[in-house]
Amino acid sequence: MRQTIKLLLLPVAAVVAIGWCHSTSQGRGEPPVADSTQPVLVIAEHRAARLDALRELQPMLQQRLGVQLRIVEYPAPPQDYFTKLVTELRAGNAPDVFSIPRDLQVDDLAAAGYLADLTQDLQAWPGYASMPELVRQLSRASFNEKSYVVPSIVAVEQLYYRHDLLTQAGISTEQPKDWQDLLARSRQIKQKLGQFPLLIPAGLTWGMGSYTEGFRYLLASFSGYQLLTSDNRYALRDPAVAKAFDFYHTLVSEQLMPVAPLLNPEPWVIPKYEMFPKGQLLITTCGSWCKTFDWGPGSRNPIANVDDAVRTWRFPSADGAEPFALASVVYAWAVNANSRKPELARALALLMGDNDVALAYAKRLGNVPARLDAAQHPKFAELGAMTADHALLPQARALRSTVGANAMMAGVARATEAVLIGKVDGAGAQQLLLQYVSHVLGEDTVGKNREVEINHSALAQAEGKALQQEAQ
Amino acid sequence: MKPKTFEARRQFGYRLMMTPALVLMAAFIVFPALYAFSLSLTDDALLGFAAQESSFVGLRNFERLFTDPLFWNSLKVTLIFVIGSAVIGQFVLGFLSALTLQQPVKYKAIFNAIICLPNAVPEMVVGFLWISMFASGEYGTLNRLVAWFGVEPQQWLYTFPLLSIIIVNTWRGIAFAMILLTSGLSSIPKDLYEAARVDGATDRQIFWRITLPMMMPTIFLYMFISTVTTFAIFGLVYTLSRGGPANSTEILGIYIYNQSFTAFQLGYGAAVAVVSLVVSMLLGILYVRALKVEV
Repeated sequence: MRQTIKLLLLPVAAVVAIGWCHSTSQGRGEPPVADSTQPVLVIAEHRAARLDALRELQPMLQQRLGVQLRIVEYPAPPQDYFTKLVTELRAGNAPDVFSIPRDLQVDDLAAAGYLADLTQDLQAWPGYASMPELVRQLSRASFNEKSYVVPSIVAVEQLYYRHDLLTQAGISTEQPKDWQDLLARSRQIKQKLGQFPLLIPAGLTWGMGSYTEGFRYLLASFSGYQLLTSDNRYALRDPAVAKAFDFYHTLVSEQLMPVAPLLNPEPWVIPKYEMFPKGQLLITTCGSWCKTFDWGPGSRNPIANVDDAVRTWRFPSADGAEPFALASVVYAWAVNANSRKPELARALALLMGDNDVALAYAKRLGNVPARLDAAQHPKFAELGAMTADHALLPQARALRSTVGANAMMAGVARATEAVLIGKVDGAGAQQLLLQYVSHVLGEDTVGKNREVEINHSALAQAEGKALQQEAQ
Repeated sequence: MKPKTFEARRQFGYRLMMTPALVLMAAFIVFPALYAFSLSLTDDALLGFAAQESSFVGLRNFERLFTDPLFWNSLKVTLIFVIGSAVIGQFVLGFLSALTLQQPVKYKAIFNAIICLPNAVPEMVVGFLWISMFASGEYGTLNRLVAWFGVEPQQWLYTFPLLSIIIVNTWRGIAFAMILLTSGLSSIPKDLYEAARVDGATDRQIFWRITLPMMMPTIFLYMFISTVTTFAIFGLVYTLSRGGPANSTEILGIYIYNQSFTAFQLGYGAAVAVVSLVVSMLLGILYVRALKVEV
């Protein structure tokens, strides 16, 4: 009997001990609370670099607003962060202020009623006037043109190439004029160096990055193309879409792009962190953060003298127009529509768009501030080579999206994966994308402006056949 | 008032004891299942306008589901995964371990601990552990092992995706199979073996004529539990492959997650979950019927 009692008491003692340890450890890592009578605002943040930036800014933000900030740490991968955020918004227990990973997620969140309308706040805010029109446009929901987020930092994306290795091999490092020029350069690299020349993210496991870091660039290469039709539907029947998929198809069929690593669970690891530093991949799409995190001195596989060894080309167009850089408003700040302290939450969101805050984040994340007047800030020079990326902002290009962006991106991931494994060509991939998006969002979400119509039965047959072949 | 009989009081006591379990099951199993069914008849979503105001769409989600080749692929992958890992892998290795550890083996406790250890590790941790095992490139653990035999580094999760997740799930589930089957083996009366040996039966005859028939109820019970739990696996496969490459490991759990929390289509995700529940129930009913097997 005594033995039984002892055994029963053991887990109880363990729970008490763990509880005691937990209570004594709490508060050790948290900054001192200024005044317990101040209102508390809850702000969500994720990833070590972003959390570090916010913790550094926390005393300043608390002082300027007269509030206590409670930082809630969320999962690190953007997709997991977004999923958790959305489920909490739906459940009604989300934080007062949070950031949204990509501009193209704003419409979906706003349409769901999760975001507070910040239009008037932004128009009365001096910082808004110093943002380029592109950034202002990306902060508005396309379905009602109201602003729901405060942009703080922007990702500027281009093509990054190994200048050192191309120069050694006697291959031109001049800016490619158009796709044909880029393809010709890629073939030359393959022939002379025997390595994979080019990487454009694609496939299911790259997730939304297959669109944001890959397919989006190819679509934006057509100077007349916009992702949205005039009646705010996805222009996915446009011939530009098939041509963009065909570009992937060419890269895959001529083995100009590494395919196998893109089918791994973490597809970016091998090409970006291993092949590019080793010179087994010579050109890749990337953003201003790459020279810091992917190949900088603190990265896992640093490239010696990275600023000189790796240089950038703007994206060449498909039709001979001017090459361009892509811009995305990343991690713009939003206010929970159900916040219990809406006024304070709005004030905090606007403060997160301040140049002090934007520069602190930009420096740690390798992005650039969204405001053009940041260039006059005394700390702007600390961004180093990224100041050149900031200068590209006024001429950068972007594609606006609307409600259903997540489904559209999931469709792109599936369609590009089908190209990667040789299941379909460009036209087939466009069919897959159309089928997926109209399946998930309804036929009326896909604009009827061009000639490509969905052939459902042929597609189902083709996909079934391909799956059968895979199984065999 | 009529005095209650002893039998009535006893029945009342039984019902009272079952009440907490029934309340919990109603709250956390029956209600969510009914809610999922009602959700499957709507276009509810976590994002977009439907998140604010969903509407009744009847059986549209089910129509879409049955014409979606990816759903059928997912169902097929799930069945292969369940048969490969639970019915064959875990059962065969668990049974062999149970039989072996019935014998007077040296360091039995150590072997027991080694077999049971994987079951003590959380699902996600197992996933990350095996990612490092299967990692491509020269630094992957498995690639280092095969390099001793002169084999080039492989991309295991790309080249053998389904087989890889079957192996991991088998590895993790052997302990449960072994424990359950050991309890079954222990319940076989020793007299039967002694009598058989006196009659001159060989080891093979003893196994096929005594051990296996006497074990049938335990085996079917194990099959029932492992089939239903393996059908519902999510975390392990999500960590290892997220359903890729090219949907080749997209088991139903992953497919439901992708529809509900990647495409944020709750209504459609719920429809797949309802179908998955029905398939699990059908398999359960089959096993329950089989459990009545005469020994």
